[in-house]
Parts: sequence; structure tokens; C-alpha cells
Amino acid sequence: MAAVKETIDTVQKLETYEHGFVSDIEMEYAPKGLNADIVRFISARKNEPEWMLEYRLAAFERWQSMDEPDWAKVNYQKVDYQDLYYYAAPKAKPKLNSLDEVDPELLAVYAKLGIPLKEQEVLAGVVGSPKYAVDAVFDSVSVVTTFKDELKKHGVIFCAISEAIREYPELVKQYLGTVVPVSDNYFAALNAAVFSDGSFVYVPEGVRCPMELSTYFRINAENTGQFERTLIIADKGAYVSYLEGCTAPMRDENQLHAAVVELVALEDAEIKYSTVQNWYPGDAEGKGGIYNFVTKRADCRGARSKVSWTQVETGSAVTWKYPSCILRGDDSVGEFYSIAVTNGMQQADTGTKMIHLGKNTRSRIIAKGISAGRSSSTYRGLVSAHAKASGSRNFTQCDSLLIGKTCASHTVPYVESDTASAQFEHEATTTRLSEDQLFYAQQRGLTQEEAVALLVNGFVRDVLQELPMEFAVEAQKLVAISLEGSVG
Amino acid sequence: MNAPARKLDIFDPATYPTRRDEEWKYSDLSRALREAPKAVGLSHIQAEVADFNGFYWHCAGDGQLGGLQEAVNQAKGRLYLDMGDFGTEGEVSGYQGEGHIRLGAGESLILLEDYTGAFDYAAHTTIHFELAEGASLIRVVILDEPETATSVRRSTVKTAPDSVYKQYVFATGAAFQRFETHVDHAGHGAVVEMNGAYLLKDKAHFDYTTRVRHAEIDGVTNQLIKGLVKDRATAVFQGRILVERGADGTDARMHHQSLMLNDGARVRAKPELEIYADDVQCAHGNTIGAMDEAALFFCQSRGMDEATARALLMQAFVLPVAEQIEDETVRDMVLNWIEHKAGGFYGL
Repeated sequence: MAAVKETIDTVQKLETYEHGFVSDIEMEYAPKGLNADIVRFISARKNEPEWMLEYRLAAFERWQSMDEPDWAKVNYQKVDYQDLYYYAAPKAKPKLNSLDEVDPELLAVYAKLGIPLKEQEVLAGVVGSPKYAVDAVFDSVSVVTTFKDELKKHGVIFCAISEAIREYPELVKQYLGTVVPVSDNYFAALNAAVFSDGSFVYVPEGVRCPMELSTYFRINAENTGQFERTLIIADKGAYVSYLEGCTAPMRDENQLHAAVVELVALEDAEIKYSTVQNWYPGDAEGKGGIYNFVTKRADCRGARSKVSWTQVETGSAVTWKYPSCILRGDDSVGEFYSIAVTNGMQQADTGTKMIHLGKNTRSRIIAKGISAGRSSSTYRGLVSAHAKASGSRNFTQCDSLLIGKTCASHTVPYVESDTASAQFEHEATTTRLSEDQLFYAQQRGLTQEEAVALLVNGFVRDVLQELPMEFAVEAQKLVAISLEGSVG
Repeated sequence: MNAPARKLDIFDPATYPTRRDEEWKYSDLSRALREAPKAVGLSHIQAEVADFNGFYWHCAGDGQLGGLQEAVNQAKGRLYLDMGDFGTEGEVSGYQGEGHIRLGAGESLILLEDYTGAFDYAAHTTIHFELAEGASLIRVVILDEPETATSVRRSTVKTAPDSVYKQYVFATGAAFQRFETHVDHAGHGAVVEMNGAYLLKDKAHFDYTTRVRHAEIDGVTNQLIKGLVKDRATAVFQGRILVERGADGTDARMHHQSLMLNDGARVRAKPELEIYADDVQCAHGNTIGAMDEAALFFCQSRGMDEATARALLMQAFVLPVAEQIEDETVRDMVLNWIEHKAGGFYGL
């Protein structure tokens, strides 16, 4: 009952969106709008080498020739790409030598969000509590990355991608854009042209990354788009677990977040990527909120490699993303665990693609969608087997829960098989909360809202279990909060 | 009305859908039919009215779908539609037609549609069904077209309170074959079943597309589609169940199961649910795989040779669809037909 109690307390304590505050920090912007000069500006601001600028300019040219896609089951006011700031950064101090020199205002923001940026804070915690390194991205720049030195001892590179472009150009050149090419889609091309910051992780051969890595994305400035770019490479036999969290202030305007995340797993490597997405979802009338248009893809390049995506999507006005796995290596494994909660006027069109190319590749998809209020949530997924992917296996389960008369839930799976020895199973159900269970819980003394929270937590349990411990607790609270006010 | 979204005129290539049309993603008509077929003057003579196994025989081939309602009125509850299309050799003949069948309150009809043909032809036919309160229609469709054919068969169905619409489609595919059903589930407590089985080999292409819109309360939809795919054949199943706001009490289930008999065969499935009401039970399942080796081994361990064991398992896979047909005569006809068609599958 402890967990239930905790959920109830949280629900009572928090009325609306917890992270909706705005921080007043001196910022530096690029001029509004998007053209080749802005691309050059961003590149120059980041002291990028020539090849990177060329990459960006080529992407920008490509983007101009593309049309914005409209096939998702989401309706939103189109983004005016010329009315955005593509670069916003807290005004730089000359050169930071240690965390003490970081703007205290900025540190206060992260303290308020509960993100430990000071290594000693983490260490001073409960004895035996797991450590995790954080890369904090504030609007367009990474402000700080913790535990870098300790990680370096193990050979693990964990830094902002802008830093990696300068420090490890060979690695970046070798892998950037190889999983999500520039021309992949409209938002990927846009991202390639104007991406600002994100994380870069390289885990060398045979190394098991000693701690959880995490990036915390925060949009703060008004009228800015955030274009994060993350690249994670797990070399042969390596293992890394990476967490991503996102929040933004409450504003009446919609803000764009168009990220690209690329994962590369070589032979026997394993990457676990978890997201707790809690961008500002807009108010109950659907005003404001983040457009979360993200391309996330993993390439299981080596034999026996494994990538596992876990996502808890509770925020954003519009979510449009499909973390996918290309199962290229023989015997490689792809997993996708997802909880998508929509309430108010939120819309989510999310799912995954499992593309089986290698022999005996296996994938597993567990997607739980919960819609309440006037929201709509769609699971859209592709499972395909190439003619050479003999012996491939997929199991897909997507369950949707509807709370209330005005929400919507859709399931759009694509299943394509070109090989006789592939075995694909897909099952989906859509129902509402069971009256019997609600009654039972209420009869035991829970209020209606508590009973809903309890049942919903039961419904998403399969996925929560896949999250790292600290995140699981937070995610559980988040799910309960997101559904607050959805009954009665 | 839940009509086909896309206007298609087989004589106007500009109206041919391509793979870029989401609804035709897996069936590319503009590739199958590169140019408009030749319009054929209907010199074809309407066959004499005859009796066929207790059915009223009506010839509606070559796109002549005008007199369907009259045939229904004559048929006394059992109607056999001979849908034979005859093309010409070396040149594609085109047929296009549209017909209407309406069943009055409490009326019932067993309809057997037999699509056959010869030589090169391209056909596009549409039948609109309308069921009044309490009407019941059992529709059994046999698509036994030549491998040279290009055929798009569409139907729309409108239900009324307590009406029953049961559809069974059996197909062997063609160069291009698509069977589309659009159901407007607009009656309280109406029951719809849309089942099917396909046996595809060589380069056959069969696309079974169903669209069901639940607009009223307590509607029921059940779908079971099973099939065997061999050689370089392609099976496509696209199902969508749409439950409108307020269509509470809807119970909808969709199942598609495909057995691939060799590499090189292709299966494409897109079973969709689109739900705007909360008091509903909706589910879909989709499985694609090879023959169960354990079952095969079991049969062989009981003394069956491999060929016989395979034949038995294949038959056991698709027959459940036909066995659901309540009418004994029709069921036997279909079972015989499957047995005959499945013959080509057993030898591997």
C-alpha cells in the first residue's frame, strides 16, 4: 500500500504541471527566423569545424526541398518556422572551470527540478544509492555534465555533442547521421541543419558503463525551438543505460521540440534507453504546450546486440515519435516498452518500428496507451521481416485504456513479412476501466480518483518494471498526476 | 455513408491509386494496370434463368449489375450470382458495373457470388447492400479468377437495428485482386461478420480490405481471416474498425492469421482500431508464421508421412472459416471448392 499512499499524496500535493515555472536568466539569442546565415551562426557559436558546417548547410538545403508530413493522427496549428529562435543560450561566462562558476540561477533551476548537478550531492546521499551522471541541456546548450572524469577512467566518453564534435571529430564523423540520415524525414533534416546540443556517449569495447547516464532537457526561453541531437555508441560487448528527462515552462504559445536520437550497438553490445517525457502539455483547453516531433532510432549493427527503448510519455501537447530498431546483426534483439498518457487536449501518435534484417532477430513491443479528457492517443507501429531475416520473432501487445466519453484511442499496426520462418504475433485490446475493479477498490475505502490511480498503475506495470528504479517511482507518480481530474 | 473513399474509374488511368495512397499502400493498381482496358460492348447474352442446387441463378458477369434487385425478388431467399467475366486473349477487356440489393424488414437472403473468368480482363464492380430492420444476409463470395485477371470488387453495406450481415470470402488471388467491404454499422444491436480464407500460390495477389464504422450502440463485429501463401504470392489484409463517439456497447473483434509456406511469399497486414467511445470491447490479433513444426512432428510420429501431415495441417488451418457457414448446402460447396483448390498446395 506504500506506493498507493505515495501516489495519493502526490496527487493531493500537486495541482497542475509541476515544472511550469519560468526562470529569468540572461540569455543570448540568434536572430529570429531560419536561413543559411542562422545555420552558420549556430555553427560558429559552437566553434564547429568546417565539415560540420557543410553537413548542416547540406541538410538545410535538403530541408527546404521537403514538405512537412501530415499523415499522423494529430491536428495542430502548423509551425511558422520563420517565427522561432533557433538558438538560445544562457549568457556565457568566460570559461567554466568547475561547477561553482555556473550561474547560480541556473543551478537553482535544476535544484528546483530535483536534478543533482553537484557530484557531492549525489555522493552525500544515502549510502549505497546508485550514482548517475547528468548532462543538463538548457535551451540550446549543455550547461554541465557531471562525473565526466570518473567515467573517463573507464574509457567512457560522456559529454555534450558540441564538445564531442570538437574533441572527438573522428568518432562523430564515423557515426553521425548513419542511423537517421539527413534526408530521413522533414524534422530530421531540420534537426541536422540547426541542432544545438544533446549528449554524446561512447562506451569502448568490453566496458560496462559503471553508472546510469542521463540527460535532462529543459526548454526555458520563449519562442525557441529545441533541437537536441543525441548519439550513443556502444562498442563491442559494451553496456550502457541512458535516461532522458524533459520539462518546459507553461506558456500560451506552442513550442517546437524536434530531436534526433541515434543509437549504434555493435557486436554483443547492449543499450538501454529510457525516456520520461514531461514537456508542458498545454492547459485544459489545449492552449500552449510543446510539439514533440522526435526521430529516435537504433541500429543493432553487430551480431547479438540489443537495444531496449522504454518511454513514459505524459507531457507535450502533440507527441509524434517512433523509437525504432533496425535489427541488422544476426541474433540481435530490439525491445520497446511504452506508456503514453494523454489528458486534456493532448494528442499522441507514437509507437515503434522493428525492422528485422538479420537472422534469428527478436523483438518485443509492449505499448500501453491511456486516454482521458478530450485527448487522443494512437499506437502506430511497423514490424517487418526482410527475406533474409529467417527465424525472426516478434511479439507485440498494445493495450489501450479509455477514461471518459470524449477521448479517443487508435491502433494502427503494420505487419510485413517476406520470410516463411518469421513468426509474428500481434494482439491489441481497447477497453475502459473495469467497473467491477473500480467498485471493489472504492468499496475498500479508496476514493474514485485513488482507485483510478491504483488500477492505472496496475495497467502500466509491465512497462514500469522496465524502467531503472529511480525513474520507475517518478514515472508512477507522473502517470497518476497526468490523469488527475479525468474522472467524474 | 461509409462509401469507398476513392473514386475509381477503370477506364480512366488518372483515377488509379498508387502506393502513395495509404489505402492502397500494399496493392498498386497503377502498376498492375498500366493503361486503360478496352471497353467492351456488351454483346454478352444474359443466361437463361435456371436452377442451381436449389438457388435461383442469375448472371451478372461482365459488369452487368443492373438487375440485381429483381433477381433478389425472384430468388425466394437463395440467390446464385454468376459473376463470370470473359476477356480477350492478348488484349485487356474492361468491365465496370454497380448494383444494389435491398432487403426489407425481416427478409433474409443467402447469396452466393461466384467470380470466375477467362483470359485478360480488368473488372471493377460495386454492390451496395442495404438491410432493413431485422433483415439477414448471408453472403458467400468465391473469387476464383484466372491468374491473368485484374479485379477490384467493392461493396458497401448499411445495417439497420437487429439486422445480421455475414460475409465469407474465399479467394485464390489473381494478377491483382482486391475485395473491399465498407460497412456502415448504423443499427442498434446489428451483427456483422466478415470472414475470409485465401489460398494463394504462384504470383497471385489478393487484398482483403474491410472498413467497419460503428455509429450506433450495441453493434457487434466479428472477423476471422485465415490464409495460406505459397511461392511468390502476396496476401494483404487491411481491416479497420471505427467506433464513433456514443457507439457504446460495441463489441468488435478482428483476427487475421497467415501461414507462409516458403520464403519469397509475402504477407502484409494492417489491422486498425479507431475508437472514440469508451464503453466498448475491441480487440484484434494478427499472426504470421510458418507451419508448426511440433504439430508436424506429432502427426509424423503417429505414422503419417510428411506430405499427408502437411496437407492435413494446411486444411485444418483454413477450414474453420468455411465451417462457420450455417447453410449446409453452401458449406459443402465451399468445403469441396477448398479441397479442390488446396490440392495444389500440398506438394512442396
